[in-house]
Amino acid sequence: MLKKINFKHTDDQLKKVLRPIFAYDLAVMYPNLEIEEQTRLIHLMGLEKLSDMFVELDIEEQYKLFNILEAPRKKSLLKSLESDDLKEFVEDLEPEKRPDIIQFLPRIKAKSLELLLTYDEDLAASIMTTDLISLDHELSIKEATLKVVTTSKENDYIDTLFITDDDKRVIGSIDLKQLIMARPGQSLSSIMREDFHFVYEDQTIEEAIETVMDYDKNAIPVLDHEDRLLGIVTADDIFDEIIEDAEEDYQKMALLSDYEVDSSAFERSKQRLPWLLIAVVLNLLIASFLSIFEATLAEVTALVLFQPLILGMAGNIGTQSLAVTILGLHLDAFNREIMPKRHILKETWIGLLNSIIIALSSALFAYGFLSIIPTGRQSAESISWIVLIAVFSSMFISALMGVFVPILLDRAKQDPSAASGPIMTTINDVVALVIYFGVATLVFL
Amino acid sequence: MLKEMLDHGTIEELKVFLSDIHAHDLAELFINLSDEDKEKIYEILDVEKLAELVSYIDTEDAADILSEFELDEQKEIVELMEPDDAADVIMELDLEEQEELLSVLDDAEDIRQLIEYEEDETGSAMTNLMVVVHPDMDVKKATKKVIKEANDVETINTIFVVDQDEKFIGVVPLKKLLKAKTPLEVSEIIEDYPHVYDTDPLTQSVQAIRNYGIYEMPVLHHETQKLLGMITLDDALDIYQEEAQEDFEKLAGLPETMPDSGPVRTALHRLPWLLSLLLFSVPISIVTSMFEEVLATVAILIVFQPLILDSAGNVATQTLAVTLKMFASHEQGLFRNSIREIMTGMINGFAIGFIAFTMTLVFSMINTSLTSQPLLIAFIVGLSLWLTMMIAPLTAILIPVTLRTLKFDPAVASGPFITTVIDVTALLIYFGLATLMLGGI
Repeated sequence: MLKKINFKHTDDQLKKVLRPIFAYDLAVMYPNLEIEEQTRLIHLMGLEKLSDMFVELDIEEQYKLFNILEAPRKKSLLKSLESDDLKEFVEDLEPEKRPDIIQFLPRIKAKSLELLLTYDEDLAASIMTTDLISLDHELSIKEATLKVVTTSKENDYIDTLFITDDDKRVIGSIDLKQLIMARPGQSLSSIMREDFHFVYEDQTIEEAIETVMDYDKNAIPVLDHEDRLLGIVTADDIFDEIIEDAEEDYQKMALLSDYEVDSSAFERSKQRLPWLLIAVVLNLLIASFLSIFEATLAEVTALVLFQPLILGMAGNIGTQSLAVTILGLHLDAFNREIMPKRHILKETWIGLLNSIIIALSSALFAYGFLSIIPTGRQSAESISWIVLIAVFSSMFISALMGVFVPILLDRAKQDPSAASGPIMTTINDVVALVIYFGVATLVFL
Repeated sequence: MLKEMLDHGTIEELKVFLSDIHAHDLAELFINLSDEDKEKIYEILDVEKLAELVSYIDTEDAADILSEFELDEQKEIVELMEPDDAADVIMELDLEEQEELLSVLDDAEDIRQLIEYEEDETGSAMTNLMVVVHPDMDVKKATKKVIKEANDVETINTIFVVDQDEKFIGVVPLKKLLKAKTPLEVSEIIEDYPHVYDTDPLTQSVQAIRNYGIYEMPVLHHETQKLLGMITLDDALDIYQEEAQEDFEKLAGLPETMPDSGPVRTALHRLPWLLSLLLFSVPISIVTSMFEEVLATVAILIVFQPLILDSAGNVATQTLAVTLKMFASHEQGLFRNSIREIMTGMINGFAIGFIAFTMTLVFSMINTSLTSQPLLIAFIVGLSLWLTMMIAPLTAILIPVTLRTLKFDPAVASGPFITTVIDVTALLIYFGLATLMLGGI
C-alpha cells in the first residue's frame, strides 16, 4: 500500500503521484521525510487532503507543519478542520503556544473552541463536533432539503439531521435518507423520529460509547439539560475511544505503560522500569518478611519444592477473576446497582470450587512427588496436608481479591484496571507464603 | 416492565409497547423471559420487528428463535434481515435446517456466498445493501436511482461506482451528488476511495476503516476486483470490541466468556487452564529438588526465590503482550522488535539486578543471623536476576513464534509454556550459581 515518493519529480509530476495516495497513508509517511520534502509536499497538496492528513499526525508534527504554512493557508487549514479535531490540536499544545493558533481563527470558531475546551476529558461533550445542521420544525421537506444541500459545508455532518422547535430544543431526528425519500407534501415533524438516542453534556464518554454501540448509530447528539443541541458525537470518534480503552486495559494487564511499536529499547526500558522496580521492592519486602520463617525453612526443606506452585496457582486464579471483573466493569455488564452482587456471588462460587479442585490435585501431586523423590525428614503425608491447606486458602483469597479490588476501586472513582499491578501480586504472595510457612511452623516446630 | 405487561396488560397495550421499543432494548428484555412469555411475544410481534429482534440478539439465541418457526415464516424473517446478519444466524442452525431454509430463500446465493467465507475473513462480515451507479450515468439519473433504492439499502451516504465489468472504481458522497447540477456525468464527480479484499483478514479491514476514518469500506473480490459488498462502521465497532475482549481474555488465561451460564459450568470451563498450569509446575519442583543440599545449608536463598521468579515472569509478560499485539495487528518488523525487546531486557535486567544487589546486601547485613556471607549472597541474587531478565524476553518471543509456525494459537498456549521455561531456567541459574559459589560451605 505504501509507495515511496520520488522527490526528483517536477512539481506537476509529483502532484499526479500524490493524487491517488490517501491522506492516512501520507500521514504515515510524512514524519520520516526530510524537512524540504515535507515543505514541498504540503505545498502541492489540496487543502482537503492536507487537513485529512493533518488530523492523523501527532501533536509535534502538527505544530511543525502548521508553522511551515503561510498565514492565509494557516487560516484555511484551521477552517477546514472539524471542530473536534481542532479542539484536540489546540488542547494538546502547551498553553503558551495556543494563542499562535487562536489568532488565526474567526471569532465564532474561537468562541466555540473555548467552550469545547471547558469540558472534562472524560465527558462525551469533550469529543463532540459542532459542525452540523439543525432544521427548524416548520420547514417544508423542500426547504429542508434545499437548506442541507446549499448551506452544508465540507466537514458538516449531515447523514443525520436534528429538528428543533421554536425554543431551539431538539424534538426529533431524521436521516438524510428519509428526507430525500419523503414526498414534497409531507411535513418535517410527520416524518421525523421522536425517540432518538442522545447524551447530555454531563454524561461520560463511556455512556456515549454504549449508546452508539447498542443502537448502531453513526452519530448521537449532545444536549444540555434544556434539550438544546450542543453538538454531535460521531461513530468514528467513538471508534478511536474504544481502541484507546481496549489498549489501555490490555497494557495495564501486561504491566506495559504506553507501548508504541516504534519506540526504541531505551524508551521501552524507561517506561517499563517503574513497574518492575515496584515489583522488586515489594518482593524484597516479602523476603525480609519471610526471613522470620528461616528456622522452619532450614528444618523442613521440602517446603521450598512447592512454593512456586502455590504462588503460581494463586496468581493464576486471581488473574482470571480480575480480568472478568475488569471486562464487566468496562463493558458495564453489571448495571452499577444490581449486578455486582450477582457477579460477586458467582465469582465466589467459581473461586471456591476451583480452589478446592486444584488444592486436592496439588496435594496428590505433592504426595506422589515426595514418595518418589523423598526430601527432608518429614513425612510425605504431612507436607501434602500443608500444601492442601496453603493452596486452597491462598487461591480462594486471591480469587476474592480479583473480584473485590477492582469493584472497590471503581466505587472510589478510580480506574479498576489499576488492580492488575504488582501491588496485588505482592499482597497475594505474602498471604500465600504466610499461610504456607505459618502452617508448617505450627505443625513441625 | 415487559414482564408486567405480559402478565397484566392487554394485547393492545403490548402491541403499542412492542412497536415503539428499539430492537436492542427488546432483545435485552426478551432473553430473560420464560418460554411461555416468548411464545406470546412471537404471536404479537410483526415480522419486521421479529427480523430486527433476531438481528440484535446473540447469534446462538437467534438461531433458537428462528427454529421455533415454520419454514415459510423463517423465510419471511430472514429475507427482511441484512444478509450478513442473516448469514450469521443461519450458520448457527443445524445443517439440515440450514439446507432446508436456503433452498427456499429467494436470494440464497448471496447468503450461501457469505457462509462460505471463513469467520476471520473480511467477506464474512460484509453486506451488499448499497447503491451502485455507473460512471456514464447522468447525476440526475443517479440521484433517481438513489432515491428509488434508499429504502432497501443500509446507507445512501456513500454511493459506489463500478464500471461495466462491475469493477470498483470509486465513490460519490451523497452530499456531492445532491449538489451536482445536471447535465453532468457521475465520472466527473467520482472520488478515489480505499478498499479491502474479501479474503483479507477481518481485523485488518477493521483497522483500515479506523485509519481512513470512513463509514463504509467497499469489499472487492481478490482476483476480479469486482465490488462484492461493504463493511460498515457499526459492524467494525462490534468486531473490534469482540477482538479486543478476546485478546484481553487470552492474556488472562480465560476461556471465551459465556455470560449466562451458572457458576459451576463457568468454573469447570476455567478449570482446564488451571489444571494444565498445575501440571506445568512439576518440572519446577523437580529442578528445585536437585538443589536440596545447597538449599538446606543456605536457607536464605529460598527467601529471595519469589523475587527472581516474579521479576522474570513480569518481564516475560511484557514482551509476550507486545509480541502478541504484533501478531494480532499484522505489523511488520517482528525481528527488529525482538532485538529491541531483548535489549530492553538487558537494560532493565542490569538496573533491577543492581538495585536488588544493593538491597539484598543491606538486608542481609542487618540480619546478621541469616548469613555470614552477605556480599556473596547479594552477588548471587543480583547476577541471577540480570541473567534471567535477559533470557525472559527471548523465551517470550521464541515460544509464541514457534507455536504460530506449528499452527497453534500463540495467544492461548504461550503463557504456561513461557512460565514453565522461565521458572525452570531461573531456578537453574539461581541455585546453580549458588552451588558454584557456596558449594564449598
